Amino acid sequence: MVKLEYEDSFVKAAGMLGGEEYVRVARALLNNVDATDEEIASATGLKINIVRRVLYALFERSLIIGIRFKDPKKGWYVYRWKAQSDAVDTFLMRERRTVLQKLTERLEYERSNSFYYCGTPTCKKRTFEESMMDLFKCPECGNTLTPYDNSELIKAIEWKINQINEEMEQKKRETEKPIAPKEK
Amino acid sequence: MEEEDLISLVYKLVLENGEPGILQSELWKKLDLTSRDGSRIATRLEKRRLIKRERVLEEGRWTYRLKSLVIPVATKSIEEAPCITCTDLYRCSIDGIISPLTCDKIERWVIEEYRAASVA
Repeated sequence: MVKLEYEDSFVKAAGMLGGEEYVRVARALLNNVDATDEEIASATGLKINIVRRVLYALFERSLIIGIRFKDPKKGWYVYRWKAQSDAVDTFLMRERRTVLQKLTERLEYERSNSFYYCGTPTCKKRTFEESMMDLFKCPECGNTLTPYDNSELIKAIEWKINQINEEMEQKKRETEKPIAPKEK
Repeated sequence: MEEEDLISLVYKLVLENGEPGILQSELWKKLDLTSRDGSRIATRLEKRRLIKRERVLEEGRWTYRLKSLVIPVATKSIEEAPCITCTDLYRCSIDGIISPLTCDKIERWVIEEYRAASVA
């Protein structure tokens, strides 16, 4: 993912989905309204298959719309793509909710279990029940399973959940702000 | 510096100047830009509806004052969240083979972000 602080919301959203090519395509969509995939490829210097992959990912998340039209010269149908900047907030809210749900489930699991670990980076941590079944011997590497302190992970998840909630609250406050009356 | 980076920088400077905005000429001087290049960038930002240009008379000369129209959307909390690009998300559930309870990607992501925030 590319870090973009001072950018158009649409470009930021695209950057969250992928690398530099996503950002380039998003910027090209803003600079060239109703562009075809070929026009975007030419504006970005990216290969047409990469452009199509990015467009598909953006379209899948309703961040762009495509209007089909018949090319008068070639006679076949092509799509003209348009950025849906208004859909960015919905997209971000949906992603925040998804991540929040996964983190909440994980937090509950980490809080309600004690874990055992063999210390081998490629092996997974095991709950007390799993470890007992394995007689406290890692079934993957054979090392002894010893108690694992997951307090840092719990703190990290709690911190992240708070951060997401704060961002959602901030967004809510922004949208609830009364619109100033127009000057006469 | 690439033009798109320059566009971000101009937007940042306009935002930092808040409500009163900043004079176009002042900004170009700050960034060592020609008025032609500067105007092109301002037009781009205006076209993207991120800023507006207000024509003002300054010391007897007509110029533009650049004002921000929107604050960049906050994405920090979920930037680099693995779930956003995870190809297994559609089959990720508590009782599934792919589960948030045992997901290494989520664990690595929160720990790394938490440690980075603690250091900062």
